[in-house]
Amino acid sequence: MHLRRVTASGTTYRANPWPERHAHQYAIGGRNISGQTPTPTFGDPHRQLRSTRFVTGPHPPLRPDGTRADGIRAVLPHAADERWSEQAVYDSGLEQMLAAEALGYRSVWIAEHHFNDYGLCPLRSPGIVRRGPYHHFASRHGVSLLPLHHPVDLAEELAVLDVVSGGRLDVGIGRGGTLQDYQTFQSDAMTAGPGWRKGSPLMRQSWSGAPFDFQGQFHSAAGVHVRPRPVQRPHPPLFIAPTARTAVALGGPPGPAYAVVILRVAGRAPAAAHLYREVARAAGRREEEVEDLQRRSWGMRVVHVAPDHAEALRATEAPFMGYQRKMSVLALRSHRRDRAELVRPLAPAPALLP
Amino acid sequence: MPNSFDRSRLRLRSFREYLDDGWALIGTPAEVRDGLRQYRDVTGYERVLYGDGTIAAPPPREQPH
Repeated sequence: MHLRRVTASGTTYRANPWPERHAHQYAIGGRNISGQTPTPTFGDPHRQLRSTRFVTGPHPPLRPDGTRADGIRAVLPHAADERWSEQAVYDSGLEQMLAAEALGYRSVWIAEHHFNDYGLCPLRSPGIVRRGPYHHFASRHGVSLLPLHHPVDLAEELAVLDVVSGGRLDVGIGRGGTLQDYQTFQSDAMTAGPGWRKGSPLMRQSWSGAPFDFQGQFHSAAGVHVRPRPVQRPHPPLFIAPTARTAVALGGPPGPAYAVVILRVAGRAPAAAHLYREVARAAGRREEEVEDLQRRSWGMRVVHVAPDHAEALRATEAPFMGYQRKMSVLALRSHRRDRAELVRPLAPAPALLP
Repeated sequence: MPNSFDRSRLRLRSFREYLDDGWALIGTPAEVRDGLRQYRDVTGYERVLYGDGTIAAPPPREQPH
């Protein structure tokens, strides 16, 4: 198959030009990792340099049948180098999504961020919806900040995205981070946690396809019939993105939501995974259900590949530290201790850490 | 809450400290492949989300706008 697509910048990508079993051997940017199969050509002489900024490189087949289940989280950040214009950030991000799709990645996750240049996408439901030959590409929200929005309002938008994408939408929700977010959108940081827990059921009820009344601590509704109803039944899969013990624990209580957890703190992921399993068991989930949750969960890694280790370190240190400086600013603005712990030296790692 | 913890304890760590803490998987193809396998084995997570990779962006050679 040699489907071709020309992006706004004139770059041509080939869709699925390699067998699926080999696709994992490629890094975006035209690098031939395996040395055994053709190197993709991007035409643009600067393409390799520019494209290596996201991602990622080789990884093992993660399923017994050799298929992959990989995604790219596109934060649409303002790059660590301030010479990037905002337009360039968007152009680059969208090009990278197209390139990733052509290389066989299965999803793109887009985050909602406000009021800082770490993330330039403030949309609460930033769906990338396209159909046609690239129908395998899923759009995922990683994540929408539920306490900043009315759950029914958000559910309506997401339902539309699920319909127009043909049921390829996954929904990630989080409780948000900065005080400025809460203050600006008149959301109470004190109740963000409970509001998040109670907002999700209201979203699910909104997707039921039937009129309903709802009377809760934070929201109420009467005779609401949300349309359209999502294509996926009973609703699009829900993900949460915990960074703290308390948030991880939210994934444990019995119920149809939070079937999957995204664990974002790479170095602490093993401990968080262990905690999640323990919480789920303590909450009464059956062992096979816990295993299923684990199987459908995602772990996020920041990855950079280069021909040799020294070059990888050299190419990564400055932009990585620029990213950390941005994160430190976020932590200072955060009301949450766990955000601060992303920057602050942590206690000795649990035994589960490698 | 705004003053619920001591912000004076916040500090930016060194690049090496972040790497040692597992923040990023950086290296040759073989190193990254092995690291991902180890990550999968230790966490049980079979799906890998390559995240925030744009942090490694070099500046564009030309500003399009």
